[in-house]
Amino acid sequence: MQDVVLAMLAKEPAHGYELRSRMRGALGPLGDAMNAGQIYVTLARLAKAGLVTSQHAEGLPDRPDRRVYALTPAGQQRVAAWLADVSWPKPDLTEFHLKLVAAAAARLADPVTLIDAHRREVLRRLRDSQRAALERSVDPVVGLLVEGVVLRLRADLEWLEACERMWTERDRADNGSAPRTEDRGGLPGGAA
Amino acid sequence: MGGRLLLVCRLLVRDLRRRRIETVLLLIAISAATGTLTLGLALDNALDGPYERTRAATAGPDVVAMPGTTGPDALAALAPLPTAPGVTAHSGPYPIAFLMLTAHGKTVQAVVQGRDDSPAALDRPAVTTGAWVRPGGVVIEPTFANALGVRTGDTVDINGHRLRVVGTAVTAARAVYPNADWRYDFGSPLVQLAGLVWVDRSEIAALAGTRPLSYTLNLRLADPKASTSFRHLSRGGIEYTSWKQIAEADGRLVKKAHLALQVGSWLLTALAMASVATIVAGRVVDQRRRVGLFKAVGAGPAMIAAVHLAEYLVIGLAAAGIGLTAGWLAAPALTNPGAGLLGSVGVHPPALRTVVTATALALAIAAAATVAPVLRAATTDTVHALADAATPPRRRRWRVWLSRRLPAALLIGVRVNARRPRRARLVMVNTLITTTALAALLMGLAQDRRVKLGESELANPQDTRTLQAMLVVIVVVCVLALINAIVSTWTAVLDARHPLAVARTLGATPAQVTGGMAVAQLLPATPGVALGVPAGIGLYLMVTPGQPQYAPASWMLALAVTVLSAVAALTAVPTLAATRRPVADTLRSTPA
Amino acid sequence: MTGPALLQARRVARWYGRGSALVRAVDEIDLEVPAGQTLAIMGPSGCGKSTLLHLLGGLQRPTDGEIWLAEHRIDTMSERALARLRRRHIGFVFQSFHLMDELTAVENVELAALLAGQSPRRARQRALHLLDRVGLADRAKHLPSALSGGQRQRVAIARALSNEPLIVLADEPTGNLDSAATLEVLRLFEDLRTAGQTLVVVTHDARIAAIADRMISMRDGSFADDSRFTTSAATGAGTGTVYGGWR
Ligand SMILES: Nc1ncnc2c1ncn2[C@@H]1O[C@H](COP(=O)(O)OP(=O)(O)O)[C@@H](O)[C@H]1O
Ligand SMILES: [Mg+2]
Repeated sequence: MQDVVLAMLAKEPAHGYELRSRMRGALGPLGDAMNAGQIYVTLARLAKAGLVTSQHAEGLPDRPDRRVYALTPAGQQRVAAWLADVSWPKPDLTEFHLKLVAAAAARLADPVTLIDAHRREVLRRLRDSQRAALERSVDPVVGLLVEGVVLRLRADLEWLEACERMWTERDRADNGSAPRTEDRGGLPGGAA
Repeated sequence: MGGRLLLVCRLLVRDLRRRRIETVLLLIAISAATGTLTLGLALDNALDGPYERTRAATAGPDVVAMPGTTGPDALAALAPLPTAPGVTAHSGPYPIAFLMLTAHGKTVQAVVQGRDDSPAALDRPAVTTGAWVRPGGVVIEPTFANALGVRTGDTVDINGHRLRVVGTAVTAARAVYPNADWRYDFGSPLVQLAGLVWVDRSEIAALAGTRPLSYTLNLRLADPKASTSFRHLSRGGIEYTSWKQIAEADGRLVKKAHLALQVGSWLLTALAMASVATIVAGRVVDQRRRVGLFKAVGAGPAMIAAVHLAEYLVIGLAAAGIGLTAGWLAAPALTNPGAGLLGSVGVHPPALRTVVTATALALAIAAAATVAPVLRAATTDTVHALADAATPPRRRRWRVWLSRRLPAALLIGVRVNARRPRRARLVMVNTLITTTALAALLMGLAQDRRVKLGESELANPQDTRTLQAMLVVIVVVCVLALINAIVSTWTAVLDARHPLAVARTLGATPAQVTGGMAVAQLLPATPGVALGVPAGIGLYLMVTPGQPQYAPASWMLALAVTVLSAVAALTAVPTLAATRRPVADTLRSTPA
Repeated sequence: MTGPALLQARRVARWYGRGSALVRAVDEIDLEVPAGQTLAIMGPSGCGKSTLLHLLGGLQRPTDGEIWLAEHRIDTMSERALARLRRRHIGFVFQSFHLMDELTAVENVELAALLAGQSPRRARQRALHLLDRVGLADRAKHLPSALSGGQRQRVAIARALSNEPLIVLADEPTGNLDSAATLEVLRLFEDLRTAGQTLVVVTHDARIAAIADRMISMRDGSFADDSRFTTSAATGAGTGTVYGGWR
C-alpha cells in the first residue's frame, strides 16, 4: 500500500482524495473493499518516515484531505527500488497443508471436511470475481486484474480438488485396511 | 413441410458440392454398371433387329428350297413348288454352286449364286457398297469380305477364274459368313463353313466348270405359321430352310457377345456396388457425427434417412441417365459392323423397358450400398454418434499376438486392417471381381478364334465379336476397379494418417510406413486374387459350350502379379505423399 | 422448493459394463429443476456429468429410475416421441459446438426450426433475430470455419434457443474456449438467466458458478453437495452480488 501511494505521487503532487479516487478506479470492483480513511493513515505514516511532505493549500480548512502531498528525494529512491523489485507474493499453501496433516494425524477433524469448507469459500470468491468480470461496463485494464484473481482462485480450487481426492483415498484406505492390520498383528510370529 | 424439404435440398446441394470428387466417382461407378446393362439390353434387340430389318428391306423369303439333285433334275424337282397350294410368291430358281475362292493367297470355301438384274419378287439383296453383279464381277457378303480382307475393286479367283469385286450386299435368304452352308456334294448332309458370293447368272456355269450346279427357290407362304413351325426340313429330295433358321444362324454371331456382356454386366454391377460401398463407407464415417447432431436437435429416424438417401438417389438418377446414354451410343459399335445384315438407321431412343431396367439398377445400387450404413448411422446411439467415435476396432487377440512377431511393415499393416475390417473386406471383393473378369478375358484370348474353310483359316466373326464385347467389359471393369482401388487406398491412408504419424514418432521410417500400408491392402487383396483366377476360369467354362482351351498358367500368374502390384503401387503413392508431410502437421490436423 | 419442477429425476441410474468392469456412471440420483432456474452441475472429469445430462435430455436411456420433463415421463418414451420432444422443448449445447460445416451460421441456427416444420421464412426471421441476440448479426452468412471458437459456440447457443425450448442443456460449453471466449459465453448465459430461461450446465469449469442460481457438486456418479445462491439482478456495480451463503 505504501509503495503504491508513493508511486502515484511520483508524477506530480496530489490531494489525498485524488489519490483515493485514482486507486479505486484502477481496482474497479475490488476497490470497493478499500477503507476511506486508509489512504490518510498511509500518508501520515509516509510523512513520519520522511518519504512525503505535505502542504496546506491556501483558503481551505486544514484537513488531511485538503492537503497536497509530494515526494521527498528519499521517497523518489524508494519508488525506484520498488519498481525494480522482483519479489512475487507467495500464496501460503504450506500452512493449510500442514493443517490437514495435523488434523488427520491427531484425528482432530476430518481433512475432507476442512477441504470442503475451504473449497466453498474459494468457490464463493471465484463466483464473485467472475461475476465482476462479466460486467460489460468493466474497464479492460481493470478486467485484467479481475482475470488474474479468477485465474489464481481457479488454481487454488484445482489444488483443493487434488487434496480432496488424496485425502478421500487415504480415508478409504485407512478404514478398509484397519481391521486386517490388527488381525495380522494378532498372529503369533506373524512376520512370515 | 416446406421447411423440411428446403432443409433436405439444402443439405443435398451443399454436400454434393463439398465432395465433388466423391460425387463424380459415384457417378462414374453407377454409370458404368447401368451403361453395360444398357449395352446388354441393346444387344438383346440386336439379336433379331438387324435380321428383321434386312428381311423387310430385301423382301426375304419365308422358306428357301434346294433340291439334293443337280442340273435339270433339280429344276424339275423345283418346278411344281411355285404353284403349290399356300405359296403366294416366289423367286428363282437361281443357280448355285459350291466352289473354292482364293483371295490374298487364301483359298476358302464359297457358296456362289448366279443372279442377274431382272427384278425378283423375293430376295432382292441390298447392295451396301459398290454395285450389283455384272458380267466379270462378283459381289461378296460383307462379313465374308471383311474376314477375307477384300474390298470393292480387288480381284478374287473363283475356281481358277479371275473376277473383280464390284460390291458387297446383304441378303436374308442365306445365313452370313461363316454359316453359309457349303457342301462337297448336293444332297450331302455334311455342311461346312463358308461365305456367300453372287456372280452374274450367265457366268456361273463357266465358273463351276466340272463342279455340279444346282438351284435354290425362294418362297413366300400364305400361312405365317407354316414357315415358323420348322427350321430345317427334308422332304421329297428337297431341303427346305425356314427364315427362322437363317435368323438364328445370324443371331449366333452376336449371341456369345451378348452372353459376355450379360455376365459382364453382373460383374460390373457387383463391382459398382463395391465401389459405391467403398465411397459411401468413407462418407458415412463423416456422417455419423452429423446424424448425432440431427438427433440432438430432434430429427426422427425418417428425416435422417431422407436427408442421406436423397443424396444417393439423386446421384443414382443422374448416373442412370449417363449410363443409358453411353450404353445406347456405344451399342451400334458392337451390333452393326458388317454383321452381314442391315444396321440400324439413325439412333433410336432406348426402349422403355431398357430405361426402366437401367434406372432401377442405378437406384438399386445406390440404395443397396447406402441403406445399410445410413440405417446403421440412424440407429446408433445419439451419444456415440456425437462423440464421433468410430466403432471401436474389435481387438482380435490372434492379430495382436501375430503382429508382435512380425517385421515393422507387416505389423503396421496388420494393425491398420484390424482397425477397419469392413474396408479390408471391400478390398478383397474388389480384387476378386477384377481378377475374375480379367481371368475370363485371358481364357477368351487363349481360344482359337479362327475357322477353317477348306485349306485356309479365317477369323471367326463370332469370336471376334465376343472378344470385342469382353474387351468392352474389361475396360469398364478396369476403370471401375481402378476407381475402387484409388478410393479405398486413399481413404485407408487418410484414415490411418494419425496412427501412422504416431508410428513415425515412435521411430518408424517412411519406408516402413509405406510398406505397412501396402501390406494392409495386399493382405485382403491376395485372397481376392487367389480366388479370382479360378473363378474367372470357371465363369468362362460355365458360359462357353464345348471344350475351350485353357490359358497358359504363366498368363494367370502374370495376371495375379499385375493386380497385386497395382494395388501395392496405388497404396504406396498416397502414403508416400502423406509421409512427406511433417509428422507434427499430421498430428495437429487429425483427430485422434 | 417453490413451484412445480420443470425437470425431475427420480433415482436415475446409468451403468456401463458388467461384472468387475461395471461403472456406475450415474448412481441413483434425485434431482428437481424448477422452471427458470440456472443449475450448474460441477465435478471432475469422469464423474458422470455428461451421462447425466444425456439422460436428462433423452439422448440416452437410464438403467433405472424415472425422468420427467414438463409432466412427460421421458425415459420410457418412444424414440419418435423423444425426437419430437427434443425438437420442441430441449436445446442442446455441446463442448465441441457440433455445427454443420457446410451450412452458414444462420442456416445452422434455423436447422432446428425447419426440422420442427416451421415455414422457411419464419425460421429465417427467427434465426436472424437470435443471431442478433447473441451478437453475431453481422456473421450470419459466414461458414463455421470462418468463425472463432467463441462465435461458434454462440451460434450453437442461438441454435439451441431457436425453438424457444423449455430447457437448455449444456455440456462443457466452455471446454474448448479460451478465457475471452468463455467470457462471451458466460455473458450470454447470464442474459438467458435474467430472461428466465431454464438452464442446466454440466462442466468442470468453476467459472460457471458466476451465472448459476444453484450449484451441485458431483462425485463418482452421485451428488456430493447442493447449494443455492441468491443473486441480485446483474446490475450491481463492482462485485454487485450479495452472497447468500450456503445451505
Ligand atoms: N459408452 C460408455 N461405455 C462405458 N463406460 C462409459 C461410457 N460412457 C461413459 N462411460 C464411463 O462413465 C463415466 C462417466 O462418464 P461421463 O459421463 O462422460 O463423465 P464426465 O462427463 O463427467 O467427464 C466414466 O467413468 C466413463 O468412463
Ligand atoms: Mg463430459
